[in-house]
Amino acid sequence: MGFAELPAELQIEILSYLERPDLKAARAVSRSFRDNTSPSLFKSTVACPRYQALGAMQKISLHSVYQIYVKTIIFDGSVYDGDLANNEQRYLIQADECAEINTGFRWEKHTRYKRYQQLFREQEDMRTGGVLFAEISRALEWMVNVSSLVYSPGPRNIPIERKTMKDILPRGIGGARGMGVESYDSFIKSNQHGIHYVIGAIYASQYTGIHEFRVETVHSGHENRGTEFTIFVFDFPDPMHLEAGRFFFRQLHKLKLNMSLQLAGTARNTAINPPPILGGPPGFQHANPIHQINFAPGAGQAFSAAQLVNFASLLREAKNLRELSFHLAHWRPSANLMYGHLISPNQAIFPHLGLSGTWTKLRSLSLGGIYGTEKDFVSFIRRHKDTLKEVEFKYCSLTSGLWASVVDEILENTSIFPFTLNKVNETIIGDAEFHTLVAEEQDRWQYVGKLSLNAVGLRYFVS
Amino acid sequence: MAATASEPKKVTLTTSDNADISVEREVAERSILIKNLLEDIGDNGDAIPIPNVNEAVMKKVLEWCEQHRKDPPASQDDDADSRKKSTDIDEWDQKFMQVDQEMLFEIILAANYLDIKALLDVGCKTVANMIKGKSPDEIRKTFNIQNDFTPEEEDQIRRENEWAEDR
Repeated sequence: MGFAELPAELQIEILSYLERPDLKAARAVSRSFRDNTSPSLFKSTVACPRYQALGAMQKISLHSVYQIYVKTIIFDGSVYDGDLANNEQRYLIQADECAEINTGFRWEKHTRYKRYQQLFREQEDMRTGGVLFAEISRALEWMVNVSSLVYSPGPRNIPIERKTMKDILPRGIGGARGMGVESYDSFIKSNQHGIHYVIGAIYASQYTGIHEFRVETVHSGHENRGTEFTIFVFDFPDPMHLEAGRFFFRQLHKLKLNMSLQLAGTARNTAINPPPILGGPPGFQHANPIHQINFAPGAGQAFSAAQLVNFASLLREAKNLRELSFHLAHWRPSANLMYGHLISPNQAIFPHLGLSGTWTKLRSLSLGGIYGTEKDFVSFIRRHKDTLKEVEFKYCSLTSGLWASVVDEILENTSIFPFTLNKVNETIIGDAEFHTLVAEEQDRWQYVGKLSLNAVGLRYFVS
Repeated sequence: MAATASEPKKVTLTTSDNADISVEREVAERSILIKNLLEDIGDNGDAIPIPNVNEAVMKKVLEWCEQHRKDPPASQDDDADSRKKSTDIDEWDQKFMQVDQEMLFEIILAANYLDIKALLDVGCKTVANMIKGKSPDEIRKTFNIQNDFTPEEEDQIRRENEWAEDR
């Protein structure tokens, strides 16, 4: 008995434990290794507005064997930045800050800039000219087993692009400095609306097989954090985009959404602070002031209530959800800092996010960074008590009421297990507002706890 | 002396080479196949035939089941992808898997047949770790595999590998 004598399905199972570089080495061992590694190597493919990468997806989708292995389409959200592509000086300054690419003569740097500019133009042509949309629609006709869509902040590079991208600024690094209303509008379209074309393609194909949508969080502390998924994604320039979104959300069973409510920017520039004097929202500051960037007039007005309304309507449309994990990024200790630029901070954002809806099949819930009242949370649990099995609240804040009442509701009126509270707080502590407390005090008033089972299997809460 | 109520229940398994092995029911039920069989036909004291596993392999599998008898059962919703991301194996299992390749593959086959997901998982991880970081040639040597590619096919593999991410 040797490896070669194992049945193919067990060889496939063993090889599925390998990471891609090892899968690629194993593919070159023998024909049977090639055949048995391919299901894992091609189980996901990257879609994005870049010719070579999209070409790779096209080749997989047209391959008579590999096309059926694809289960996941990963949309790479990272983009070449228009502001850099249209300003050589700015590009060169940014490139000089990047240790890996700041070498070479001036003419070499100029050549690299021209290549970056070309890639930016291709990216925009592919997005607005319909190539991205058409290719994904076509691919979905062949990749019939696709069941999930992932938004990745990126950058996700395909080896076939290696030569083209050599020594140029990576996508995701860039600046959206000093923009007016018009250029901010085009920045948002380039930066946040790419995913519309994927969802549009799914709608156009009437592809009903995608049951999972996962939006990955940016990697904090990483030099290039890619392009964060923000509320601006739900800014629909055309009613058809909303219709496509409805169709897409209707099919979902599993939604894992990490979303920022902040003004969209790229990578290091997610920290954007429109100055209040120029019409930006008062008190809107980023967690990391080092990278703050001031916007020109109008940028702050880009926020609109419609984005929230659209998002809420799509979330409510996802009637088939079994698992919902919804986390707002960049938690701040006051409602004003968290979402005061979108709605009045005197209101809880919970219902504005569509969370007052009912999902009759919901088994698992994880909420993060969300401000709501005790009533919002308790009522959510009551509405879903027959189906909910596991619940987690992380960095959630009660604008009125007590977390103890939420815990009581779960213990007394449901069979939910496991249940976890992770750094949740009440916004009023005695006579003081939570956000006015010093950091150590805040830390002390953030509750952590979970349900455990006693010797006879009864649940109790441990904090 | 009559058996007391607290004495653990035992079942007998008959292996492919006709050996009878007596084992506590709780241990044997780490195998979903055996668990379902016992639930369906009831425990009437008859030996349960396991025609696909010989005595040596069965004993080894039962040694693992004994060690892991109190482990929680595998969840139906187990996220296979996240489980596979880590090829870490706990120390006892690592030592348990220090067997020759023949036995290793027999254990994997048995774990698959007997439906013991956690053992199959450890077996697969062990083999995957034997492949990790190796060149194609080193993998061939490890498992005694012939390179049956034509030069054109090797070129094709290289081209196709460029279509997939490295991460």
